Amino acid sequence: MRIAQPNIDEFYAAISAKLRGQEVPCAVTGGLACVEFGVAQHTEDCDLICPPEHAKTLLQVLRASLFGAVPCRYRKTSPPLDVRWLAGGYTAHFLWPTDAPEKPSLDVFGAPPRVSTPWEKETVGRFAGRHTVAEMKRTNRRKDWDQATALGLAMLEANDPRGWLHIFDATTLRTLIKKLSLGEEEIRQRPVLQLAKSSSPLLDRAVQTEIEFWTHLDALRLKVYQASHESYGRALLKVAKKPPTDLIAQHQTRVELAEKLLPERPMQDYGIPRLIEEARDATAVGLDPAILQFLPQVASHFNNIASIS
Amino acid sequence: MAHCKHKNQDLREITLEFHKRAFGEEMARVNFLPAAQRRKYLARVRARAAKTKSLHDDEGFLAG
Repeated sequence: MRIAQPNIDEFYAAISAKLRGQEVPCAVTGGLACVEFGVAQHTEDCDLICPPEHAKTLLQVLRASLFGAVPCRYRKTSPPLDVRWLAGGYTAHFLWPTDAPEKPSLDVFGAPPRVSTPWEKETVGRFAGRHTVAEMKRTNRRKDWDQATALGLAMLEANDPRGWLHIFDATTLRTLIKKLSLGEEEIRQRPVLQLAKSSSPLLDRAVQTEIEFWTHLDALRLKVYQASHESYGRALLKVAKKPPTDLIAQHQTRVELAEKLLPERPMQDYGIPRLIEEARDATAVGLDPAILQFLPQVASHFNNIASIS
Repeated sequence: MAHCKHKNQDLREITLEFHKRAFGEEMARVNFLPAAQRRKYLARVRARAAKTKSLHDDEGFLAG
């Protein structure tokens, strides 16, 4: 007998509802949040922010969440959904390997990258706020930058001046500056806005440089996590050729290996100031140094990792 | 009040212009739909993509 497949959006909504029913704060971010906020894209994957200390509850909720009749499982070499690694900035990956065209897939962030303000205070229904989603969009993927800009515009429409921090299109900045006032706080956080205000011909180059800087920063960050994950991933592939079907058993295997092979705080071990310096150096190659002075200070975007003791 | 309304209209136009340039005319239209209609549109696209994929899978099976 064929079991009817639920709607994938409703399926993710049910997971959020179960978590909130157990007093676990959580928020959907990424592509699904973008769709909600007026930036359509085709995605079946759900990105979920959940405080690391609630990892155990989330694991139990995932175990109990079947898509049709299909149980949740870890993706191949995912780190464990455990407070220690989530707090260190790792993402845990899950999927429901159904035969149906829609295959749910869930990525869990405990310390969402680049998020500089408390995301819990700005949720919109089951979604992270636009500011959180837009900060997470400063990635090494080109398409994300237009989405960040669209979110920034939506924030300005909603009278949130932080929208200025997310507009990475010089043409739009030039038009906006003629119509809207720009606050000192936004200029302080994002020096490039000064160029828009003064109608500087450097604006286009400076915005591109900013994008390039964040892109390097994200690529270097991922490199740190990939390097720290290597031994663990290899060991996991060896022992898990026939992984247990039960999610909790899969979890136990991962925790045992992670305790031996997966550093808990790779970003702190590497050094956040060092990472930022390397991103600046990579951005500076072949560039007029005058442009570099308009790069933002980004240390606060690592606070949710740096604060781990 | 009139000033505020004018400002909002300007912002709306700037936003629409950006969406057209960044995502194309069709997606700009979709982005300006109410959220429920936008989700419906995406669900239709996903269903169409899945149908196409399964047709291709069948072709692969026959060819193999």
